[in-house]
Amino acid sequence: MVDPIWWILQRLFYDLMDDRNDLLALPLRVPLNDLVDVYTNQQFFNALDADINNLPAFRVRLLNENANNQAAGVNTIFTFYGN
Amino acid sequence: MEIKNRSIVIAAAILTAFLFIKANCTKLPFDCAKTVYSFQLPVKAFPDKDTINIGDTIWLEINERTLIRDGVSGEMTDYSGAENLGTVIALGRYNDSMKSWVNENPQNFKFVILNSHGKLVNQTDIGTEFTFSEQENSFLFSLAVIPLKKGLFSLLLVDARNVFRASDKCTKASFSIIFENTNQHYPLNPFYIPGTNPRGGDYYFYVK
Repeated sequence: MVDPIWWILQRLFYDLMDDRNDLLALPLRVPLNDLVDVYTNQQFFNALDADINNLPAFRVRLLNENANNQAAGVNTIFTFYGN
Repeated sequence: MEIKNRSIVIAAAILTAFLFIKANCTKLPFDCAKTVYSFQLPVKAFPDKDTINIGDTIWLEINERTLIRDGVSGEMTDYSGAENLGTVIALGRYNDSMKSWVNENPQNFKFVILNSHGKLVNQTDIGTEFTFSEQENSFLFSLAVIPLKKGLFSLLLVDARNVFRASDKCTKASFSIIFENTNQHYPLNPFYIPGTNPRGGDYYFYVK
């Protein structure tokens, strides 16, 4: 269903911050190999610049501003959420 | 000046009335983000074997009445006409050298839907998306899962979120898909803590 407001999934931010790998949880709920645990709300806000209007661009800006920290894991999480 | 102020007040009143009517009668788009109902949908797997051979079949079955108890209100609720009710089946494989679970490509499994009880709608590297069918006031899903590769595997039926009905695309429901009357073989999972009793939509099996 079309999202008329273009929300960014809260879960995307959460998985970039938390130190839990969902794939190891019991019971298993989310099949996400989450190896990212270093990002902060401040870094998310810093990457949400005026020219960022889609999630792939947001991912690139977030990585660029943070020395590609845990880049493989960040890409996995964005891909998991469809971006 | 007074005429200008009066015009502003009238315009604001009309706008407020419009938003009020719109929000109550048809709901504004942001109201649709809210999930109103929370249901549990039991799934069974059989036969009860924790170890199978390549080419053997694990059967998954859902057969639940559309009159179902809502976990929020506790009331029995008729949720027939659910338009997008389904799940993603995600497979994991235990990697011995990494001592961790990794996502398994669903191409290493064969999926067969029985009696048109369900429909495969999409497949990615992470999982295979199905919708359930609805017949005679029941939600139905019958699937054969056939492994084509050896290993220790997890199979997860992901909960259904933002489910809506054809008659009401705004009022959303979530469906937790949980195994019932099924041995999920949790002790096969290396992260299982003996004595605990997890309960979810995950199932573990070894293919030799």
